[in-house]
Amino acid sequence: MPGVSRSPRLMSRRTTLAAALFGPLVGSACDSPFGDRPAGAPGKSPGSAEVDPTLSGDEAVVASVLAALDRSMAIVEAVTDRHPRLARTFAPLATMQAAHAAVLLEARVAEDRAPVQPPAVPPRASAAEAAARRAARSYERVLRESLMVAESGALARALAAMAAGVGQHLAVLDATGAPG
Amino acid sequence: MSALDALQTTLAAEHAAVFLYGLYGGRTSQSADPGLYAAVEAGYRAHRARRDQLRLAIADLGGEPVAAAATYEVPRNLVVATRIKRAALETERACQETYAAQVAQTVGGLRRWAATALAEAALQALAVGGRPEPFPGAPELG
Repeated sequence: MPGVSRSPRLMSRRTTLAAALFGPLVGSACDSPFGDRPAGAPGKSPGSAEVDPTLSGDEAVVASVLAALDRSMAIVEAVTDRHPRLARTFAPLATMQAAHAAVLLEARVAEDRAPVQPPAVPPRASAAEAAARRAARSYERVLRESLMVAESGALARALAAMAAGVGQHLAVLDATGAPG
Repeated sequence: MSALDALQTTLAAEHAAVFLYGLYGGRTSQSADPGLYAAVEAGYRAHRARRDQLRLAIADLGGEPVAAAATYEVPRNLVVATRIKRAALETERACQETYAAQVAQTVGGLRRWAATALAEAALQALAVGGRPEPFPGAPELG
């Protein structure tokens, strides 16, 4: 009598992610009934005009996601610095973003991580809170777009899991916070 | 594993989820716990819809959709709301891992479908008492 059987995990440890990302493809165009390959191309990644054009394929995807994550983290940090009472609200999101960063930093190839300009924070707490949620939503959008162009199945899976995690946190924030 | 194999695996998971959610619904009182009843009903509808979509997708690929099992392993002591929630959460987590695996094993529309299902299942997990996680469907990354 089976239950909902779990699919075998592609990676048993997070530390294998980098190898998995840039090793053989887990899924390939041959698998697609629509015959459509991932649309990844050198230096072309969703949501990032600033990604190093010398990076190719999944390297650029990781750099692009990391840039979006950095922007979102910077806004959350700036917002909670200016409005300390929001720190508790955004603590779970910040913890999740740190976990995402750890995974992405293991997978990146480029050593440079572009600095993020300190973002302007609205003086009103409700507006600042909304700005932080918008930034998280933007990060989620980049994740969703990036998973579609990832050539590595392992990378696509990781990005999909991250997007789902951001979606969960945003749902909780939307249910408890000011209108965003 | 081919895309077709991945879809068959996901379909098998959906068959189980539909069965289990039917069970959860039968053990949940709409009048006594309307919130849980609504969450269980939403889960049932979502998994049933995905099951039907997968059947069509597999047939479109020339495959024979896997049939449901005669019966499934039933969680014990589904007599109180907390146990039903916990069982539903476990069902969602198992499905999340299946959807995440399909993301890895497909491209294009099938990957997008799996990523959407993963995101929706993550929200459904919240509806049955789960808490936000950093990597729904890929817990080993955390």
